[in-house]
Amino acid sequence: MFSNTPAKRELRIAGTHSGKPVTITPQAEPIYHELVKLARRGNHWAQITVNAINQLASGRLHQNNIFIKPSAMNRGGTEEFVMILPGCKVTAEKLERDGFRILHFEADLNYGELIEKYQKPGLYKASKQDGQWEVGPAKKGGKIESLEDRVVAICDSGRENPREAARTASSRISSAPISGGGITIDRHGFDLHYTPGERGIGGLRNYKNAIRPLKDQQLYESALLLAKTMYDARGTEGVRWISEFGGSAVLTQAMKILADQKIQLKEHYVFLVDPTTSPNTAYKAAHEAGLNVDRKFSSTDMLNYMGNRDQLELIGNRLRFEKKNYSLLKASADVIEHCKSLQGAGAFMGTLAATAGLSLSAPASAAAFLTALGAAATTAIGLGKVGNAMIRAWLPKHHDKLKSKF
Amino acid sequence: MPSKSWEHELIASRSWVFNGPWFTGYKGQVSFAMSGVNPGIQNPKLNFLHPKGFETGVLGFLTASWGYRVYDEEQEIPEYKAPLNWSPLTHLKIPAARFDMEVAAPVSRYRFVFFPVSRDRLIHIRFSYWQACAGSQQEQDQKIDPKPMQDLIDNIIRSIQLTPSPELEAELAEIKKSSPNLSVSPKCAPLKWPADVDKDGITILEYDKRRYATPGY
Repeated sequence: MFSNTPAKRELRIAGTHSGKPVTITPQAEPIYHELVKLARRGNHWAQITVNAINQLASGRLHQNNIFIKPSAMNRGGTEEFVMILPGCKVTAEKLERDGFRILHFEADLNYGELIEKYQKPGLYKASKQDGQWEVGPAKKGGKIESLEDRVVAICDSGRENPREAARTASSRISSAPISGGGITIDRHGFDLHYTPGERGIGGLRNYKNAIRPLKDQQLYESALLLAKTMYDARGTEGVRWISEFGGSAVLTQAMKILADQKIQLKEHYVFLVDPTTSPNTAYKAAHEAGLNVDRKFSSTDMLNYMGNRDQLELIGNRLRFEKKNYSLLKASADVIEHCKSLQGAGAFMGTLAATAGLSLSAPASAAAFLTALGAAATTAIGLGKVGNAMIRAWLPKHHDKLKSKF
Repeated sequence: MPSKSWEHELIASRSWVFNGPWFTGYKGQVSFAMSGVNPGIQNPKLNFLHPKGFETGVLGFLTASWGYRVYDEEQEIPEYKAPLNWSPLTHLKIPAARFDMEVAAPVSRYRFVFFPVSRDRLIHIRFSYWQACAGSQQEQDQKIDPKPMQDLIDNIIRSIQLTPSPELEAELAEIKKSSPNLSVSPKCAPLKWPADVDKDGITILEYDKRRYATPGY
């Protein structure tokens, strides 16, 4: 305050010659330099972070990207916001005179090591050797095998490690029509985008996130890394991005990120196997990112509430956007199929109740009935009494185990 | 295998799941696969029944199957490291060896057994085992003890018995005339990977990413 030497000027890190100036506070500077160093050394996650910061200079990045969340704080005309990027959280503010200032980094410079320990999202190559699914170590650049028609699985979280995820995902994605089926998957293997986590994504238990998959902050890191992987694969033709269960949320976010960056993947395909988050949101994101859809966009089991919830809206949207391929006839066929699936769910409840010796007539409350059913079912019902489709819908893990034996 | 230099036929495979105490569930898995392998191109000079020929064959097969995989393209860090803890298997009466292989990241660990059954055929037994948890290998070992899995593998290896067919017996007797000692080297240092093999599956060459990726290279 009393010294004659002026305070240290803030370093301008982007927008020096054109665009909006982006400056950085002296406290945050060393970490930024460290990140730049890592990015230059080829760490793909650091590259994403540095690029995102530099893109602030181009203007509107902070407004329409899902991984940026405006903070409630507004002081003196400046607007604070947080960017959630792989390996780091950046707090920045938009200045009055049209520029940005990076205030604070919460960076994890050992991010690469954490990926190696499966504690962060990563990309893995899965191949079947002598009847066993094997995965290699996490791919350094996060790039898929550059083979035409490559299948990439986006798995749900809640698996012990990438190997277990690959095992579960393999049987699920091979049920997707665009995967080429079990033989193709077994012969050529696939790439796996792995998201670590304690439990699955979406579903009824996480209803809020399930109906608004774009708002699930915990997945931003994973989605950004997936978006980078998808972007890097844009030169490869016919890549199939297939999500299973909660992987749909990660894929939805990644497609949205690409769409926001005006990136179009016209040569690629997308499919959701039993999504536990809104398929309609996913469809809209896929459409915006220019991805192609086969005759079907998702497959849904009858008990999967999330997958069935906005199917009708989804069919409506397909009619609107895919004028060439998706006829009214196909739409009505899909509507009928959807209704049948719902009917199946009703019949399923009936069967379960009958086998468990419960009465469906006027249960006190639906919730109490379901609890009783669950309790009775786990103890009393032999699985033999319930059909295969029912097991798949009701106990997917159990079904996959059985399926792998045949 | 990009060089397509070895042919292989799966004979048997199995896996064993390891569970913890009640309600702790799945902890790890051991998987086992046995296959017969032979080089695609016949080589009259090579005899796997001879210890030196056997070692050349094993190292060639390893390099052809795993040695070309690169974990870090820029720093040329190989994805696999082998052979580690090489030791001869003496109770089989023919050249035989067991050793380990490690992966650059803690995905799983491997233990191999190789022995020949004719001049140009090797039996390749591969165990892979892993724990169902995350973390570096050290952290994983702390969370879940790998010992029971390793013990199972070692027990199986110890229990291998070999009864040679009359033809094999005759050939072995023939070789014993010229070199009475059929034991393999007591030690073998890890190979310098990444590396490629030539079309014969035996000659180890310098690693070149384009060798089998570019047609007509």
